Amino acid sequence: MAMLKSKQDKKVEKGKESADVSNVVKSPMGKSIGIDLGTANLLVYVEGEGVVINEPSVIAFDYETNEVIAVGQLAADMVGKGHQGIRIVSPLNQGVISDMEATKKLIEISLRKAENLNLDISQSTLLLCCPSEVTQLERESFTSLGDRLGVKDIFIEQEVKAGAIGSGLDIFSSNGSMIIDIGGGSTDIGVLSLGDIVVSESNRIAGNYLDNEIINYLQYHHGLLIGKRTAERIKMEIGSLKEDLPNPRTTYASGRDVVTGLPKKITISEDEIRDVLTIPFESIGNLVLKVLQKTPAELSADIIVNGIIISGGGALVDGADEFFHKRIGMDFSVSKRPLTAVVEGTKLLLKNRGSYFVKPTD
Amino acid sequence: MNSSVNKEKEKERIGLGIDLGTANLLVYQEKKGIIFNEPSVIAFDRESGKVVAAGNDAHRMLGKVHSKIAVIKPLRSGVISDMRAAKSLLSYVLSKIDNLTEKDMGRTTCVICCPSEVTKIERDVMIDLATKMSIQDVFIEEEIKSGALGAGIDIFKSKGAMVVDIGGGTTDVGILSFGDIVLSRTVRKAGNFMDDEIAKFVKKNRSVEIGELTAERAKTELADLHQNAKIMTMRYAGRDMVKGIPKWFDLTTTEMQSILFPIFDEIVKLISAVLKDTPPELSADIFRNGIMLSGGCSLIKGIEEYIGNRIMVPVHVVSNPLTCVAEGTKYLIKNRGDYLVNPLQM
Repeated sequence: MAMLKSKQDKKVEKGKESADVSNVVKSPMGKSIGIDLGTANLLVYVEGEGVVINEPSVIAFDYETNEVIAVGQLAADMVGKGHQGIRIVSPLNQGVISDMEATKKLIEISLRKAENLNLDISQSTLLLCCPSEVTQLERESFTSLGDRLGVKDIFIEQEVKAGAIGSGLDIFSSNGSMIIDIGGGSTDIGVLSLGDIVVSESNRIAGNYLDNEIINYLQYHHGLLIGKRTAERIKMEIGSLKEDLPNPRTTYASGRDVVTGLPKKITISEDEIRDVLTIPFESIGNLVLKVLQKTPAELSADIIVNGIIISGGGALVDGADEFFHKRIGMDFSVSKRPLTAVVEGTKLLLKNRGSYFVKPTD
Repeated sequence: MNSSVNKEKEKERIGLGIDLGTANLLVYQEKKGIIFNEPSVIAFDRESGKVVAAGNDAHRMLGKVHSKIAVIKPLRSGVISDMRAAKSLLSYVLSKIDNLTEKDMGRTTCVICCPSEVTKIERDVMIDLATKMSIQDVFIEEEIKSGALGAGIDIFKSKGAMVVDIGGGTTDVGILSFGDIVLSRTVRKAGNFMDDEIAKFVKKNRSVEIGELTAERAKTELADLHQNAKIMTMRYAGRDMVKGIPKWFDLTTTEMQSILFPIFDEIVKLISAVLKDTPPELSADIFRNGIMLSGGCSLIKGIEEYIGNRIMVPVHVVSNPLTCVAEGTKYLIKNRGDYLVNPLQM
């Protein structure tokens, strides 16, 4: 909470400064806004301001009045801890919108939190990013989200495209590049060249799936029921794919004993988690192979030279690049900013409106 | 005053020479020289049909595009296979390079070069192309004739000359004398065919699939027909056929020779066939002057030795193998292909 406040304060100061300088900004104006509406995190880029929101995509409602109690980090802290009076919603599921009303509220309130941006959203140009393999219906839900927000000028782009740009790849050249984006709800893999996607695949094995695997593992092997947040914490702290660790890291897991029903705390080590994570990462590896098989030969030649970039939260799992390198044999590297790459990429895409033959310049 | 200058300018006729090759498109404009020399490739936006790129830019896109772009080579084996693309390519090039719009086309005289053994229909397609661009005054000439002129051979004398033009789509062999072609033959095996053979070889022996650009690069880097050529090994990348993942593979000069020798043997056969039918008087001239090689593939190392050793006639590569056809149009515009008029003296 305190952090949030200080963030806001900073923004207020920023706003003041700009107002002092320009002396004109009074009425709200339309700007270019790029939104990375991820299953795990919501990131918003506003033209001239940078990334203004970077928080979990979670929203909490009062059960009876349906009023919003909290959004973002505050709501995420409530996950698995709420009482009957609170309904906590992750409005996105596996990369696509599952609760339209909640999504709309989440974006509106998040933007209002940064209201000193002097922003009129209905006059703005909105860019929403979606996973690459979504159905037409799922895609349309993104557009209708824009309508609900009152935005007239809206366009949808694929996350891999934005992620590749945000990771610093020059996708507008004829040099092919490949990116793996392991997000919260979906893993997207794309081969890009000449400003657009040539081949792409996506599956729903990503961050949340990994958390569930950890929950299942602890339940069946240690008789311990843990919540999503604990699973996520374990993944972040000791999640690793490295083999033959000399002294594996350990952490605690606390939850409820399945048999006795009493609270219980155990210690788990890195290699246990590695065994849990190996299987999902292997299926991501298979998806990478599938994409490579569909890649035109000329682009294959480029990819073997340029290597493959991994981005998204999943890229932060220790040794992910090594893991893929061992199985597939090419150079893999982790993006410089795995978590914000997509939203950074929207900055450029907003400039050329996703047109592949216009190379936007900074 | 100004308007009269403009009017005069408008009246001025434009002479265009077009070498519409399978691999490269060259445009020669009178008084300006060669204004365009880039691959004959064009890229369209599929949705709007707009031209995205042409020439070098489009060539770089080959085999690398997403579904929104169509990259087209409008010529196949020396003749137009995609009329719409050919027209767009020419219009695009003319308007980009020299601001020549359709209005200017009315006062343009244009010579288009084609391979020597093409059918009447294929020739008519070339004329059709010009008419579609609203050029009324157009005539078609053989590439070898233009190539010989561009290479500085005086074909208007009573001396026979033999020209072998190994281009992208076709190989032309011709005997010229008194300003025109006495005898000529064409095979549709040239640079592109070699690229295909290289790709096939790699597929068969390395189980790796490679694209056009890689095959072409391998050819230019490794091809050496010398008997005791320096053995080089180069590394290229493509897609593994079995596993589907990108893979490196090595290719050596020896292997490249084993791919190229059969193709060049066929070209040698064609040359001998033409020589066999040549009137004896001209044969004597050719034996004295040698065979002139032109076209992109004459840049392959050791080609003179290879053909010379097999035919026992001296072989020379012309000084401008890539541009001689376009440069030759300079003279052909002047005499409109009339063998009685020697444009070299005009």
